Amino acid sequence: MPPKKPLFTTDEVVPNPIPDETLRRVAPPTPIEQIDLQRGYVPGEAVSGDVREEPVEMVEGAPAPIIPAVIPGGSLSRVIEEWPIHLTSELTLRPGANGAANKQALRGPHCNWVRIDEIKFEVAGLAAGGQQLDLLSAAGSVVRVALALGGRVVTGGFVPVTLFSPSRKQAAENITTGNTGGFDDISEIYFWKLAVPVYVPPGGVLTAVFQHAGVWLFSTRVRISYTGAVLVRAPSQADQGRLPFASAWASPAIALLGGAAGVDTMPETESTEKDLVGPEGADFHVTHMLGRLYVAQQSSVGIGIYDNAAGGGSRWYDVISSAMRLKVDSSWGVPLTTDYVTWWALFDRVNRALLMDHVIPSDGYYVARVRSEYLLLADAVALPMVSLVGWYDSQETCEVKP
Amino acid sequence: MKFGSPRVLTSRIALPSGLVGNIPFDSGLLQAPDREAFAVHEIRFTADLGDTAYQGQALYQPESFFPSNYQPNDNTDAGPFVRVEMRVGPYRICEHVPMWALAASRDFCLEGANWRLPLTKPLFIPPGMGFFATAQRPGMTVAGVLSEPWPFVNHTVFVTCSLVGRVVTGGFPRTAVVPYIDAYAPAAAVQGAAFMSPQDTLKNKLSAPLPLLYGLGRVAHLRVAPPVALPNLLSFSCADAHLTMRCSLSDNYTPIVVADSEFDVAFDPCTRVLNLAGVTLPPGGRLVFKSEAPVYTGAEVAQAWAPVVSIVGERREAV
Repeated sequence: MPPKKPLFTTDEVVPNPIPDETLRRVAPPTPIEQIDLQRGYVPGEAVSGDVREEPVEMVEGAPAPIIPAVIPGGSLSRVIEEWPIHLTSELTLRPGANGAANKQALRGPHCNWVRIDEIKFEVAGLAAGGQQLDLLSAAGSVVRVALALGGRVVTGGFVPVTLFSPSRKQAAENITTGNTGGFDDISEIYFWKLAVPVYVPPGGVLTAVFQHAGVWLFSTRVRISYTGAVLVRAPSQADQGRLPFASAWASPAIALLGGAAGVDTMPETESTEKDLVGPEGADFHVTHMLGRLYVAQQSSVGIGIYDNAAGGGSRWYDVISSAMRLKVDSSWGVPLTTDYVTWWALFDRVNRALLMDHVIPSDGYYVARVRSEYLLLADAVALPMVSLVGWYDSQETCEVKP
Repeated sequence: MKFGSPRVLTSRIALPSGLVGNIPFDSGLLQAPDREAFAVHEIRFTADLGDTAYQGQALYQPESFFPSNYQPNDNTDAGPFVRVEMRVGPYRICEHVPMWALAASRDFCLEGANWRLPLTKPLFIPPGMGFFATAQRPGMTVAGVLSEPWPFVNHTVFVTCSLVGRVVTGGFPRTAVVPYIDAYAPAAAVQGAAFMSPQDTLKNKLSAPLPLLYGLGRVAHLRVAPPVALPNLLSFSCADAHLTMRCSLSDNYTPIVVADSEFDVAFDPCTRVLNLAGVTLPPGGRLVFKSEAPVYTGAEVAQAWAPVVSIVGERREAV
């Protein structure tokens, strides 16, 4: 009787049902180490971290140390790839004046890349004594900003801070008090959620220069903030090359003379080929257009500026926007609107945006024409503003300072 | 589809006071100027009063936003008072549904008389096929008086239709995803009355099954304010009311919103949306909405209620 064959032998080659690829994938991970972000780190190179093996000696009863970017209860051996950062700077602008935000305040840690995901603006009008104004007004409409990273532009000249991102909720843009009727603003907040992040190299800074348009005769306090993350590793070359971009056209004041005696032609203004454009020499990937319409009204205490859709006192119930007509042509022969249309027919009244992503060729531009119809108001003028917001590929990488 | 530049096609019509019937939008303006193929991403309607509402020093527009407190202004909501019919080529989108029936609310205070219907997929309109829309301004009777939002009274209402989309330059599809909306929007009823949708509403009137996306539900609260304070202004008013109102919604056999549900819970109080994904109505199939009109003991001399409930779906049609 032949010997009974064992059920399993070691000399038979049994094909493994699990493919090699999967085996490789389920192999135990390479041990990772806690790294020191500040010491000896060169952007873009592999990190040689030191291992923190010894637990921290704690005094009994003392609170646990806070370790950035590590989930409470998580392993300390986790590699920190990035951690959040919020940089901010404040300045005051006199009417008609320019001013630059403090570069040092907007600079990240000196040896790390910083990724900026969102830019925020807070604007407040100041009374003669420097106190915060307490009135219903749209101070944000008079503040414009020019942003640049090194030699690369992020805005096409000065862009009103209200014209970067679609409004999420207009009531949330206004910080109000209950002092006089419960609707007065003390400050306004606007934001720009970037279509592509700005990667700022170590030692670099996204510079911000502000301009007070001067229509409003109050000094204005502006705070700019960058929200993003400090990175351990350098971003890819492609990420470094892409930058957000915005350009805008802030129309001169339009008199509201519709129906006035002797006025046969409606007042009209139009943008130039240098206003609603992309960055020079690059295709402009537009994510959205924004349109805001303000009203400047002469009153006994001075000129007030109101967002028309917000009412603005007791007589501006969206009046101007229904009287304004807008026509947008393009340089490539395809007009956005074939004729003059009402303001909210083009820009949504809730978020003030036309959300249509498209590409403007490097030599392309829009021309916006605005005119006022039928409305006769002697003590007020309209201030329409339009912007293009998106991103472009600069084909350049950042210069990293040693 | 290969998309070209964005375009906004717009037509504006006037609905005079006392209008009976429909006014069509200019379909020539609602197609690309060179009759190219067009893909619609969003359909918008806005209503304003143009220059017809000059009252003293103020021009009042229909809107539900009041700046003094960032609360809805319950006097001027125009949602139930402008109705539209839309059709693309031979395919019907809706038949005279109130603006409230079109899409979810985004900012209750700010949207006012500006409504938009964003489409889940671009609506492809081939060359030669038109987009047709008409509008009407129905009034509602409250305590025997024809009621409109007070800025509408004796004034012409201007309604603008905008198609936000792009020219299609290549990759023309053979079918188009066409939205379908049907609504139950009854006449206003006094408090204590009951509502039940009849057989020809909330219905799939197509010859093919209709998968639904969502439902919408709002309730207009109409009232005649005491004429003593502001007799010329606050004669009539309308608000999208948040109500503790009992309702139910079902197809023939299956409840979707069970009986005695709260209206404001069934239809999200913020967006007014009820998710109906997964529900497919067979040809001729319908949903049944039932509710009571609540009793309200406010100071106004007359109150009435008018629910607007709609179903929104989409189907694929050959183009």
